[in-house]
Amino acid sequence: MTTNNVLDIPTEHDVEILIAGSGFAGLGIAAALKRSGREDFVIIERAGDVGGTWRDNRYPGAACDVPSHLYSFSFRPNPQWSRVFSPQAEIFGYLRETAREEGLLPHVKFHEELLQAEWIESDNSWRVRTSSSVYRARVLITATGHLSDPKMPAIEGLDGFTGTLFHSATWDESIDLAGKRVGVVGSGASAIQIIPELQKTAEKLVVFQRSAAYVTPRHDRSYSEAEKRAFKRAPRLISQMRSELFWANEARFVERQAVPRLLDEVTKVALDHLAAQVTDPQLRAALTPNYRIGCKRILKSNDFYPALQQDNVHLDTRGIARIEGSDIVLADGSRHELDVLVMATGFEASDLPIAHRVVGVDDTLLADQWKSGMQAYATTSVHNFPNLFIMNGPNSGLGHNSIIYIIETQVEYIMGALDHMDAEHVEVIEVTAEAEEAYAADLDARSQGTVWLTGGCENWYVDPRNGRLTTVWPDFAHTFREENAVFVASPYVLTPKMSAVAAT
Amino acid sequence: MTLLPNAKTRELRVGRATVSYHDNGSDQPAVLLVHGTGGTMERHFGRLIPMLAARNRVLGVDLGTPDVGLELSDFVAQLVAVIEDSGVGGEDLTVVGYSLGAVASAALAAGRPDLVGRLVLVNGWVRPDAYQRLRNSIWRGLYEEGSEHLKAFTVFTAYGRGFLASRTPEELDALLSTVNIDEVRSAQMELNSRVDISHQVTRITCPTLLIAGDHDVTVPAVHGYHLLGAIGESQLAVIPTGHAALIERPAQVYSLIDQFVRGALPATTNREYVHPAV
Repeated sequence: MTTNNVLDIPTEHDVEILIAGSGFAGLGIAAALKRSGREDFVIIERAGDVGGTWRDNRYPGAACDVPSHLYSFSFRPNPQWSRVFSPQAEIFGYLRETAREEGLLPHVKFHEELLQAEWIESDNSWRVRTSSSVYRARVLITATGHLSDPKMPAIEGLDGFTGTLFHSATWDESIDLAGKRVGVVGSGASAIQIIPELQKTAEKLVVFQRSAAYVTPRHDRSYSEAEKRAFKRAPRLISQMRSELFWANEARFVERQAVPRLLDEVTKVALDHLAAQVTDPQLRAALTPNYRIGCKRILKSNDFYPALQQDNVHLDTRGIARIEGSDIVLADGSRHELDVLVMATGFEASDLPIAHRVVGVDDTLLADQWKSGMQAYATTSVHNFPNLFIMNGPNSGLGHNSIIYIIETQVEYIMGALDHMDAEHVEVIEVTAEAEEAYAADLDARSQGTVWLTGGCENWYVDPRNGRLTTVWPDFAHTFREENAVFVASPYVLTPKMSAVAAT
Repeated sequence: MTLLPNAKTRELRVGRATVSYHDNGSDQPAVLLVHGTGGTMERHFGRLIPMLAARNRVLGVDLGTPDVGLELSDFVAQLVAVIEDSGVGGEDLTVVGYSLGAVASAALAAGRPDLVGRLVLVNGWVRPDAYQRLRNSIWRGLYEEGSEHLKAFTVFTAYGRGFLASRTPEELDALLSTVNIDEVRSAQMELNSRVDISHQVTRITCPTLLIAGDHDVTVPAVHGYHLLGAIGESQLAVIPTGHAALIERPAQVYSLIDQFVRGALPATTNREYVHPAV
């Protein structure tokens, strides 16, 4: 259908399936669609390239904390990973290659940001407005990530900073930081990768730590040419390694269940690492976390602590009071004058920005329905939002294993739902509120007692609005697949296609 | 005990030895853990227990080895005593035996089917073959010589080649230092060399999950296939570990046991079960 009856409304493009986003999740579901022979799908992408998080987070030192052979698609093993933990550019390259080799690029509409998606009940379809088009889609899949929209802290005077200011995820490569006075706000996963790199060239580097993180050794190394060639010649070696890495990570989930003895073991690993790398008792005290391990993400680095001890680096834990011109004013009134301020302050995780752009039945805004915390059945389906599948949404994050495993599970689920809709001539599928509620209650029960809720820290896993663990899966990863991979129709209300009704 | 919060420990005198068991007494489905040679509940199931305890009542025994003349029937009698003392026997009880504990658990299930609802045998066997007897005789020779190589040989045969290959020198030292060489282990090794449950295993009627290690040189995986053929209702998962599967891949072993206990293991009864790729 093409409508163009009002001049200022752009032509509507009819599409069976619209995917928003082309990171690991968007490319993962698109590759599955393509491999199953489906062609009628479009991917909208707000940027000019695929890759999502791994396209955007190009700050110096950016790398993944999960070994690359596990942090990649099971259906696209890559013998060429250069290291155990490959750098950002390689992961980005892997995703670009995936898009190209899976034949997905013709399906991607670049520079089209999803502005609003609205369920049109009279038409049983989604109307999706982007920055340049309107789509009429039967099924909408949001694959917009859970760590994709930078979060800036509310610091008085931040907007008026007269130096250069940017977030770690929107790195300004045109700025040469060599010889500059640079500040980094934050001490999480991004910060500890950035700091050792900036230290090498900055005249002065001030690290504004809000809360100390647990840092464990990073068992990284490069793969030799012979090893890479062996992976290529015997791909079985890669699947064996994936299995080994996956199950080793799984054994670490019990640490999150706050079993004291296991927490003590892993705490010792982190604090021994700190003691081995930092001798100054004052600095060591400042770098010792004041919450239980695992409550926030456990970091891996061998060069963060050494970097902090270089002459041009200063760790400041006094807290930023406000910013005046080029001065960072601390809580005790002292100041740092800086040329550049890097905000390594994380991402919006519990109030997902995409939820503010999706409107379901009876004009319900997803963000409003989720105003006291997000939830979804099987982590992908939400009542009042028919024919919508959310990837990387509620309770789909992990603290201990590879998110790609979760994404591939969601792909399997969505493919199962689409196959069911085709086989049973279903036009509309919507999960019941009861099933969704029961699912959320079960996850809430399982999350009780975990270190995320009891560890005595503020983290992005818990939604401050309802105190529930809404971003992370509160169990082993393998149970995520056991429970969420196979689509079952019974929790859904299914509306048959009109043509199917007429035929019977 | 810290490993199993809220557990109560009881000791029972059975025949010529004392068995003790730990029981967290929760109201969930019960799992009884039976360790193997040279082990205790904590040494062999230490990694698995926190995982299992989230969804199960966990009971673990520390078997008693009499000073002389150890027979498999000693262990079986102790297991019967523990099950009767704790009152967990019946179709809701899953018994998980590891190594020599698997052999004892199999004999228990064969002799007292009323007590065992489900059975998990990790790296168990029916009777030793020539390969096992050769390994056992090397161990015996080193033991009687008081050889300094005995610990290394024990580690070498306990863990999988891939697991050992990827240890750091410090981790390898830690493994060596945890080997306990004593008369109890010696008595159990002696039993290992001659135990034979071939007439018992065919009488096992409860659903049985078998786990075998592809790199196991102590009880090679072929014994898992023997058990798969011998036990009426059984399924076998071969995983890429050595004999010390509970330490090398605790989460994978846990996932198999957990699904089996819940009746959620994909329907492959009387077949080899291949863990799906990750």
